[in-house]
Amino acid sequence: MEHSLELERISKAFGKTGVLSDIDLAVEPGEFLSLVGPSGCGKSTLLRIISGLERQDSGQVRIAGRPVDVLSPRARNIAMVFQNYALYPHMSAAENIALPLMVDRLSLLERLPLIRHLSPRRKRIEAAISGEIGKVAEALQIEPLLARKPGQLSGGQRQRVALARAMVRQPSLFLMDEPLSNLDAQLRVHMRDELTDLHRRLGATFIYVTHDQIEAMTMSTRIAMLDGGRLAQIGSPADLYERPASLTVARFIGSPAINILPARLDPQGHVMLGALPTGLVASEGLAGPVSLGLRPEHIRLHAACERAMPMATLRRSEHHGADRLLHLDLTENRQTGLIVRVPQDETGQFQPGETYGIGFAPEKAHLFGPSGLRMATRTLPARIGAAA
Amino acid sequence: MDRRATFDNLWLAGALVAPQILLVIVFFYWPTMQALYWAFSTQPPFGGTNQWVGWQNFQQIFADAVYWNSVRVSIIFAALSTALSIGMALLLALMIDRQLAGHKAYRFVYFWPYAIAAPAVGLAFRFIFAPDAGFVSAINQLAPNLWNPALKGWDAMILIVIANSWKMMAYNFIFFLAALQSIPRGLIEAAAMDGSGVLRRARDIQIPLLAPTLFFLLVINITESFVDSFGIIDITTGGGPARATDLMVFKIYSDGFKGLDYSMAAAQSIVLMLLVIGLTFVQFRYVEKRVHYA
Repeated sequence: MEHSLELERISKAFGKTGVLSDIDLAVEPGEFLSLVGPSGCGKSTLLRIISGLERQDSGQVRIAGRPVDVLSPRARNIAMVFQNYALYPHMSAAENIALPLMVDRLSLLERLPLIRHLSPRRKRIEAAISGEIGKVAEALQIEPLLARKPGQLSGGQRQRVALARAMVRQPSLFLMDEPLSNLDAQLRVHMRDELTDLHRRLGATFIYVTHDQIEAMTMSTRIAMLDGGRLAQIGSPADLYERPASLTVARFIGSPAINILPARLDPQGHVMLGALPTGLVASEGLAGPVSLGLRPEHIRLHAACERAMPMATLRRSEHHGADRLLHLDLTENRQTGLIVRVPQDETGQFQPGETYGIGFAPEKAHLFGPSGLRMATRTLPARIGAAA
Repeated sequence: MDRRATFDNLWLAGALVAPQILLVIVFFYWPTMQALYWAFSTQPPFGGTNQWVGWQNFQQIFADAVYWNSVRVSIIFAALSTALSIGMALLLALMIDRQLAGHKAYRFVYFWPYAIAAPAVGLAFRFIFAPDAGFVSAINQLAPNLWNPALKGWDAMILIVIANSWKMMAYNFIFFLAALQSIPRGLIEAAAMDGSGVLRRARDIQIPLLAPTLFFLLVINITESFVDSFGIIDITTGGGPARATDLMVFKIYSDGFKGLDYSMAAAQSIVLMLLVIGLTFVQFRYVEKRVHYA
């Protein structure tokens, strides 16, 4: 099957600052692909290159198999939803939604005052357009708002009008540049739901830029994470969470953030936390410093009696509804904080100021080499030391 | 909280505002009052006592065909030069806003004409449009006297319209450019994504959003062309030929300072003042309602 969108070795620099380098990406029809990354990673620039608002320095963009590099935004048959919605303030919601169709179907002459009355087909076309606006408005439940100007709409309503304007042309590809970032937290959760639903109903391809990993995790079929202008990892949300390809991805995906503990490889490849073996063995790599990543839910705290375990002191305990987040300081290395997620009903036993042993299942741990890249590991059959 | 500074010492406060008040009184209210007094009396040119004549001066100018001619040419001049200067400025500003090659140099150059004094502008255009030796005289090669502002009324009108618009265009250009640059880039990009080309973006997005600026410039340009065209006319046409460019403001000057008929000039300037006030009022009352301050 033909890809909905293909990027081949896209590079872009602004002056001497490189923004994107050698991005390769293929998006299947009907996918919901999120581009995530910290601010300044080039994700918005990549979206603007896809849209045609910005031109890449090298590489090729193909939409539905067709190279579009020389085409202007309007010839690419894509729609974009902007972060600040970019609604035309002097037009009503209905006029905003109608504009793409008006521009598409009526000539400039047919839209001038007075002269337009000379066109025999104008009335018919305008009637068709208002019918289509009605349908889109119904789908997004904005019919009562159509007569209002953007200034009279709330953030969520503007968002919907912007979506309607994108939908009305029925493009095969939707580009969204952080469309939810201007909404309040509650509305954002709601719109997340609606967008996922919309994606399912339309069956179109969505490219969604966000710096919010929760949005990416909850909505996407795949996530592409950019870091410093390079594609750090691409995969399903579960892939990125369970097998992060690098320290950057591991730190970015997941909330609260993953715990990164400084560790060391001994000459046999055993991963050591201080002087203690972890039960984790690196399949390759030289002896030296490495980083051990542990998700907050994969750490178990043990009463302080057990030996041969890294110890940590409970500093603070936060209520998060069903869970509680425990903030601890490692005894061996006081600079390294540790966050542990514990179900609410198990928290009674933990008291601030007390010291606990840190345990984890080695197969749940992630190992990253000095370059920050993921290292292949295996676990020792006979668990020793810190294994839970 | 009241953040205004208040003076307990009224004498100090009075002393601080006094220079400003004095300036306004000496250079505005006093002459205006004087003109008002002259308009209702006969002012002897070489001194002597005024005689109160009531509305007679006004009756006389309104009965004068020459006066009505100057009203007519003033309106023609205002309409043409406002349309031309606003239209050209809008076009240039839209082009500069697109950041075409060399736009920075052009932006700089386009503002220069406003920095040139009106008589200098008039002099330059007088040379350029001179029918015998000027730059434009080339078209007289096609047919003799095709262009001759010294003989043809409309040619003279076109000449002062072009000279005045050239100067005002610079002013309008800066306002349009500033307004265009304050339109969020996102709106233009959204329009581009929606399929609008350059012309449609101008028509659908930019010009409607410029409406407040357009309105402001309309008021300023019309007012300016009524009261501030003296310098150009005096240097280029001197009101001629056959009073074809005898605008109201120029007629006030020639009646007053050449004809030494101070009373008649004073009455005319009162009429001109009321006309400008009236026009501005009408514009604010009726045109502004159609302007969206989005």
